[in-house]
Amino acid sequence: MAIRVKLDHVLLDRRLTLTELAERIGITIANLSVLKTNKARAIRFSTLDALCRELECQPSDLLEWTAEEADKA
Amino acid sequence: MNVTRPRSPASFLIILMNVVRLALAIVLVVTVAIIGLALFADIRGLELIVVPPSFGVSPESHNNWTVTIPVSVAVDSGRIAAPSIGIERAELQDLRGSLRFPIHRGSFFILNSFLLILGIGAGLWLTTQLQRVLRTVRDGKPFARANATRVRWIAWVVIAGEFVRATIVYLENSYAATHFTAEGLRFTARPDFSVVAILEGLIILVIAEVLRVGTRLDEDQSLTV
Repeated sequence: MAIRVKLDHVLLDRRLTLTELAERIGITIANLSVLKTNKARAIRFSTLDALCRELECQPSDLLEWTAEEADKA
Repeated sequence: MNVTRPRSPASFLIILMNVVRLALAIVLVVTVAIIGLALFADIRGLELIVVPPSFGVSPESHNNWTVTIPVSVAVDSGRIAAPSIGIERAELQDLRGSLRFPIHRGSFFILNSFLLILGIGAGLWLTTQLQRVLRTVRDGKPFARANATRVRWIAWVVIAGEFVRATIVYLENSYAATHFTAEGLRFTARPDFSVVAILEGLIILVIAEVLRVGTRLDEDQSLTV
């Protein structure tokens, strides 16, 4: 996937665990884990909205595009 | 997760497929045993029937082994007419039937035995694939890559099977036309190719492609957060 999710970095900055975030935004840990490990094929605007609200960040803080992985795809 | 009720169509089809598979497995074992006995022992009172696409072995009282092959005949008949509806001349065409004759243990017998076992084996493989697909339906996971592959293989086997069947019929017809004579009719050789069977194979191929795309969509859906 050319789009990489930087959720682990943001969680580290905010000193939050995946479990705590999952409880706050009402998404299962399994789904957040899929997102964190870059296995997700798509992300809903509602999920992105909840993440940005709870982590007090912008979508660009959570997502980045990498050329190397895009070439592989 | 079992999403089907005990009386759902999938559950019924699984039971049906189990019965068909068991019957085919028994027929295969019995057929191999009978052919083996015929090759290596002097037994009497059995008949080997080879009529593509229906194959079978059935016990019957005869003085020796017989084989039944599909034949195509042309009838040198007299005048055919239907005076009551004003038709003075009609023709008999595309006459097909089966020819049964005594056979000795030899290459023709071995070839027909091989075709018989191949036909039953293909039926067993086909029902096994269908049963595996049905199990995934029962478990609520029909959109699996393995299913798309299975259905695609079934389609190709149906298409290829029809070509093989037509070839076998042609060869059996040729055998009869070469060696047999009859009063009032001539044995001919025609392949008996079924366009309907090919169309059925193509329909299954389309379903396999739909299943493949559905599998991808299902994966996308399950990985959407």
